[in-house]
Amino acid sequence: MAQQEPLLSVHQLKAHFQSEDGLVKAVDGINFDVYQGETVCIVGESGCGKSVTAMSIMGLLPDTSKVEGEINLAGKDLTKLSKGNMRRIRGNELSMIFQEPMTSLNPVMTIGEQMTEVLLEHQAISKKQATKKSLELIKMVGIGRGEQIIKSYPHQLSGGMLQRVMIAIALACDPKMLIADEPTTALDVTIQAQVLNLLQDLKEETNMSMLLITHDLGVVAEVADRVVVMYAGKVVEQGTVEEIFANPKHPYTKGLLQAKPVLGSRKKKLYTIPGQVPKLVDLKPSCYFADRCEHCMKICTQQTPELKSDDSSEHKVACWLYENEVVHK
Amino acid sequence: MAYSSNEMIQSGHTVQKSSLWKEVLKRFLKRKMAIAGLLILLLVFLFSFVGPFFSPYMTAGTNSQAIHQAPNLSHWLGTDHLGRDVLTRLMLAGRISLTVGIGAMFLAVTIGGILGILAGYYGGIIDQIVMRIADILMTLPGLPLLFIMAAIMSEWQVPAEQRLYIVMIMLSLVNWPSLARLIRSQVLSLREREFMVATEVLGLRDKRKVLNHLLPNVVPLLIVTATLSVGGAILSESVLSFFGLGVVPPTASWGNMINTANTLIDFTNRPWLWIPPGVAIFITVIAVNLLGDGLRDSIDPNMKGR
Repeated sequence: MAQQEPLLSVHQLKAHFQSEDGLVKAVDGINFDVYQGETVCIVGESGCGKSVTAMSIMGLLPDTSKVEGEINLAGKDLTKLSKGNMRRIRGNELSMIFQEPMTSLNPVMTIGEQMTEVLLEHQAISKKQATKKSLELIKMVGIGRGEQIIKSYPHQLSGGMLQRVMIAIALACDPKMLIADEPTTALDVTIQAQVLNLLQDLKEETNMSMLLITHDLGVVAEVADRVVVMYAGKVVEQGTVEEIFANPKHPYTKGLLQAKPVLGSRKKKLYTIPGQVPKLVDLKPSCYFADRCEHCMKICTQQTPELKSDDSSEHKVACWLYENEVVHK
Repeated sequence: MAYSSNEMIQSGHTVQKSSLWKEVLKRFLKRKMAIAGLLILLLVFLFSFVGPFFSPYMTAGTNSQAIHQAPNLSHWLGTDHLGRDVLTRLMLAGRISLTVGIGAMFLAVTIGGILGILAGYYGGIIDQIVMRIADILMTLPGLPLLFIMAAIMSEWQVPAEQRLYIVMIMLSLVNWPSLARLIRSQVLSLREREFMVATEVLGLRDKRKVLNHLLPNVVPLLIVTATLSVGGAILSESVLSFFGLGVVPPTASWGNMINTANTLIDFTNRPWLWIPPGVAIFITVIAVNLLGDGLRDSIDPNMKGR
């Protein structure tokens, strides 16, 4: 899959916020690619820059933030587009679904109105055609009785249904790329699986790419092709889902995998990574995970490791443990 | 409709399009005071707009034979110093007072609504300009401002029948800032809601975002404040007319009818001249406020037991 041009290529993306305490580097120079038809998962715990990454790709960060680097979507650098051009891309080529389906729909508009609206905005079609397309979309996301659904208001539907509707709206204009920011977090477990399967099926049907942001490794194992592990605004490890799960390299990734409850094994206490994500203000050059890492060495507190692979594979890690020369010195 | 519509959808029964406004109506019908307010208002409207057609004195005008009559069978509320039937005049005055009240409310809500939405949605320089003008207008005390404007109007000798419209404009000029402020604050909080972020993500243009998404969310608030402000506008008009600065005779308004109470003789000896318009103002304003309160309680989404 890696031979062709990536659909989305994020290069040295930085998103900084000025706060009273100093500069917050929420995202600090991350690189990753998403190819056509691929699902990439960004994982990490709360506050490590996953959502900010998604927001900066969508161009939704407030003007007070500073976004640097390149975000190439199908050859266009999104960071350099004018507001009007960006608006034309959003919802059309690049779409997004959110964590909270309950609040992401306007409470005073019917589902149908909110679905046709996107179609009317981005496509030259009549209202009648848009309604017809909406009905098809509702069928596509697996809800029956479309005629009733498009006439109902958001508060009349359940969370799972609303998330399906959100997906239908996001996919209305056949986007090339879908960003899903924790799409299943607010749903209960049985619905989670349904929604994930739905996303997976639709992705295969339309051959779009998906960037899935989650902290749920179960979700990752189920849908991801490749995984990007983020910690404190940096990518600490990335590789295919098999490599990450079978052979995690970074101590943080190992910790995440250990901290995941396994069905059928009843441990006294679930493993946790000690400590918490460091404050993102004025970090000194070091491995940011150093003070939580059981393998911490002297160099870890002095220099920032780079993301690289020890062989030529796609599996990259940013950890001094794997920098042979340094370790052996 | 024993089931909630949510259950009906999930259990696969057919559900009719249930509109949010139907629910509002349902809640509204449960509020007796609000209904009473609405009924009284309807009566006042009928009284003012239809009533005069039943009056034998519509075309009579002044009548030197029948001045200063106390209420009797042919003149139920007596006559004034020009021999005009007070009841007929009260009805005609009601037309003017209600028209001014509602007209001023429409203007104020339109100006305040548009400016408030623009200021809240766009923020920045537009917000600064609109809200600073509003602040300046709000620092000026309303009544003296109205007096000055009315005095200028008298100076320019505006014809009596046009003064009605100028009073409307004056009242709305004084009233729009507080409305704009209210709407702006509502829009500010709506703007940060997730569904507004979602419209951004879907690449909708500003026109759609404002007209389709923001406006319907502000409409309930607009309806309630508009209703309540009708009462205020009727009162202000009466005050102005009472001082002879609003609607002036020969056009009748409740305010300038009470004006007769200024004369000591009329005040002590002829209460039928000033009590009826006073009662009319009182009843109308109370009814408007009852209706407004009821509307607020039935529309306010925070009261909704979702």
